[in-house]
Amino acid sequence: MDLVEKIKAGDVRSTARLISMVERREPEAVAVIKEIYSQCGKAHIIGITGPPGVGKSCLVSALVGSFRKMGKSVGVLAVDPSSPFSGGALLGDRARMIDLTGDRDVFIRSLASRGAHGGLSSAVNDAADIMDVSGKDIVLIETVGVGQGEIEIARLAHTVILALMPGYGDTLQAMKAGIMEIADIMVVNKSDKPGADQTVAELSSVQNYKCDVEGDHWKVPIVKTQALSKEGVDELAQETVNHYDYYKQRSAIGIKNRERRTTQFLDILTLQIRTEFLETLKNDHSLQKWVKMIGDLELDPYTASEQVVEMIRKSR
Amino acid sequence: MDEIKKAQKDWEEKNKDSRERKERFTTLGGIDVERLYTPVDMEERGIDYLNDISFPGEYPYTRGIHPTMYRARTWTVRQFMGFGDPSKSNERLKYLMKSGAPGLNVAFDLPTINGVGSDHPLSRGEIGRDGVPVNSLQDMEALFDGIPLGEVSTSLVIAYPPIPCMYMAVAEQQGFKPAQLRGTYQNDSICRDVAANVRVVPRRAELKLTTDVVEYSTKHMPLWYPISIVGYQIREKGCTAAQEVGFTLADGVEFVNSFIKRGLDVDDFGPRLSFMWNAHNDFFEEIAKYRAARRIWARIMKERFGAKNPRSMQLRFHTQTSGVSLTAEQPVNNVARVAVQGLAAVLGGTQSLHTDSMDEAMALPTEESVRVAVRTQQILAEETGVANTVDPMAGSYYVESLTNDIEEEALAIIKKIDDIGGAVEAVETGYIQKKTAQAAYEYQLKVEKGEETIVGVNNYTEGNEDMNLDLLEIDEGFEKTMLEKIEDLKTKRDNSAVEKSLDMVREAAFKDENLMETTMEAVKSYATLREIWDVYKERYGSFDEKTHITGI
Amino acid sequence: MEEKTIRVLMAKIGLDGHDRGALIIVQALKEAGMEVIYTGLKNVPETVAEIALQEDVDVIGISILSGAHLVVVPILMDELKKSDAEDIPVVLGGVLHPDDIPKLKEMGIKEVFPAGSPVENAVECIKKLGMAGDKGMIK
Repeated sequence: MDLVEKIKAGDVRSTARLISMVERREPEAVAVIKEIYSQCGKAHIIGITGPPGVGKSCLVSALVGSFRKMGKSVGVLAVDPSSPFSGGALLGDRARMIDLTGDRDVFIRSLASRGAHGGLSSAVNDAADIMDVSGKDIVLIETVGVGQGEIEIARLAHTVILALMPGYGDTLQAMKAGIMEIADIMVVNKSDKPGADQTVAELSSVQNYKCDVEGDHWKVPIVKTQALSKEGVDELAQETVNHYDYYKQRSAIGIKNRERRTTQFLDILTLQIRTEFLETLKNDHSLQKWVKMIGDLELDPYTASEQVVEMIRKSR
Repeated sequence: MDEIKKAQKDWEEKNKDSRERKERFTTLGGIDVERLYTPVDMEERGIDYLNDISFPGEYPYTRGIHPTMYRARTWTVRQFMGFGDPSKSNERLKYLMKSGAPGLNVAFDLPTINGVGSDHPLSRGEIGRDGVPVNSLQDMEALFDGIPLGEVSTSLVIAYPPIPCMYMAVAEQQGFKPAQLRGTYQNDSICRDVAANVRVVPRRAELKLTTDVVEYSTKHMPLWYPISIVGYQIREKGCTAAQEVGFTLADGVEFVNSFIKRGLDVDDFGPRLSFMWNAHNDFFEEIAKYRAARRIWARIMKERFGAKNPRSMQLRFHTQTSGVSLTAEQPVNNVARVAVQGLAAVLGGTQSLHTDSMDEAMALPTEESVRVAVRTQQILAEETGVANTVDPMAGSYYVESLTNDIEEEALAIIKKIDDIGGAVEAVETGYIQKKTAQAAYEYQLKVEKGEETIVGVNNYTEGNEDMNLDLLEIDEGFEKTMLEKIEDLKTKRDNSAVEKSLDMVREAAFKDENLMETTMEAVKSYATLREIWDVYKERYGSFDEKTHITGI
Repeated sequence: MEEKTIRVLMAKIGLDGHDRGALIIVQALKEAGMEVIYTGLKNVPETVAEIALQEDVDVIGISILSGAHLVVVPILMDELKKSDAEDIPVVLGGVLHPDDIPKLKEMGIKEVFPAGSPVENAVECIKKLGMAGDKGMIK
């Protein structure tokens, strides 16, 4: 059986290995992505993010349980940061998702962010596409934190869930980071802790509507959950499905997909351009020439850059 | 006193250049130890005989909870045991009773403690390995076959309703009422959680189930100690002596709060609380630890919880010698370690004692090594004369000073845990785990640098090869037998009665009632341990959060 | 294309709750630049095999202190074989009788680290095994 067929048939090892290879951007893997791309688009991609410690992994675990009850198969991509020092990473989320193993319709994969040299969002997107083609109805992408990187990954999703918990000033942090604007559903997890209602009140005063489809608002729901006892999680799953239906009913899923793919496209394009031109510069040793002039204060970096771009343009 | 101070100053001046073998001396727990202790140290610490030390059997019980202590009756020899299948453990129980260890102390295996039973896939390879497996009333019947439960005192190392119910059901078959039973449940869920990562349901639910057991026992079992608040395992995990006192008494405060919240009166359950401590290597520090713990607890119960009954203020305890201090190298040396540790517990006024067997660093003990451990206690009790007077260490300038130092450190820990919001919260936030891990790490560093000697391990290793013991081998075949027994039981019992009783448990659980009575019915219908726990988990969820991996 | 980052699965099998050793190794592997997936406590061997496959790890490390190793290791090896994944090397650490080491190796365990073994030895061994594995497309 050829690889694509194997993946479509749900062969775990082939799927997992292909994901490893797209992580390393191996040309062989990129070729496979080209081949399967037209078959994507069946899965509902959900992003879930929020500050550390709000119980996201437990929430994801419970949420997958709810989707399974609806009869949907689920892929989970859990993204964790790599250590900036060693490059190593602890991908600990499996510990909290153990309930889900043993179920052939659930596929969980941990990804490390592997430094900040771009390309993460394209790797995550490729992994999500692979899971999509392997037949998963839902792909959940989990990230930690509310920084720029998380926002970028969240943009890959059809539906973005922001998870918070009572107190701790998370709301404020999230607002600062701008993640509130991209959330389609907000969750207050650990809602048995004191201050839950206050957090809900804060959130509802901040934002109520998103106007994704022209003239027709999506009211951002705020759901209270207790992931450990699974309270409120079925409701959260339902809201997530509702959000997807909101697009589908308005035949607007295409618009959403175009939005999502823009990020990925620009990411790949930037990388491609950078690799291509930097390689050229490195190869004819002109990079060193520019660097020397800049270092010796003979030329400022802005002028140098303008001259490089001009040079490239002329060479075409 | 001024004269003594002056004389001491002169003496210090005269001997200030005397060489010592180390720059700094500390206890195992890191408390500074001076060259000499005198009445001046007692005065500096403001130790007042009547207020702080007083008489045995008198508040704050620093010198012991009974006026006559071992002159009336020596401590109970209570050896921990449990392995193989229930009938194998039954043989060992009878052997222990015969060799003069009248207190029964039963350990259960991991599948039983975790509420999953022998037939769970997680239990493969772990059945009967470090305790006895009990899957249903049937196994409990085999475990205590021929042992009249109304006439013995039993410690059951387990929390939560099912096992206590099975024990009472066996007693009832033998014609004994709960009110006649004597013994202890060692059911400290908080300690077990920190020390061994045993969590079955979420922490608040564990506290609820423990409180169910205590409430029932308080009302129906006047001779039973329904909870043993345990420092032993946290200490084994590496905390210091003072932390053992601080963490454990804070743990005790959490339980007392929970019982009071349930509507129990502090003087109803106070007299039936008990504790369990470790006996580690630092002889004087251990003695001081027991004395400090008694004093702190008496004051907590009286001043904080308003106990009126003196028995509520008395900290009674069981001691077990330290398992981690034993070495696999030159195992016979462990006999000497255990003897000294046991002596510390006795001089600290323990009510009962387990002495580890010399082979326990490597395997479950053989009958021969258990006998040596029991004999060690008999030598302490009957040959050494240490049981002839009450609290002979009192008045030692060193021991009294150290008692105060430990008390001070422990009180600070209790205060800190109060500020965090209680022991459960302190575990949830990882405070107790972090402190324990840090202390363990510091000790390990000292061992690796050779600052702490472990005979036969980092020093005096000559002879390591020639001192081997014959170890107990467990027959692996009984795993299959245990599974067959469950299968067999399920065909023989009245399954509709089981369903009905489990429905009652479920109903009570969702109404948040005390689960003892309904669980008793389920046990008597021969519902399995796992079936009962599965119903509990429907209500409380299982403990999903597998471990604390924060901080890595 | 990036250079190979070694992915390791650290697993606790059975009910044994002692995770100090496992956590120390996890930390050391991370510091050595590897990506570590930690299962947490209480896993059955079937689960461990499944996670290893989904995560496409280069090495599996198991930590067992309960004495159940001779029972659960064959189950794990069987599961890997069933999924054509017996090429993933498995190492084991924990409390065990010296007589068990040859038995475990016979079952297919690549290396055994009895309690008290230096952490660096385990890290070095895992690194070597991880580098050696094939990372290409599954044919």
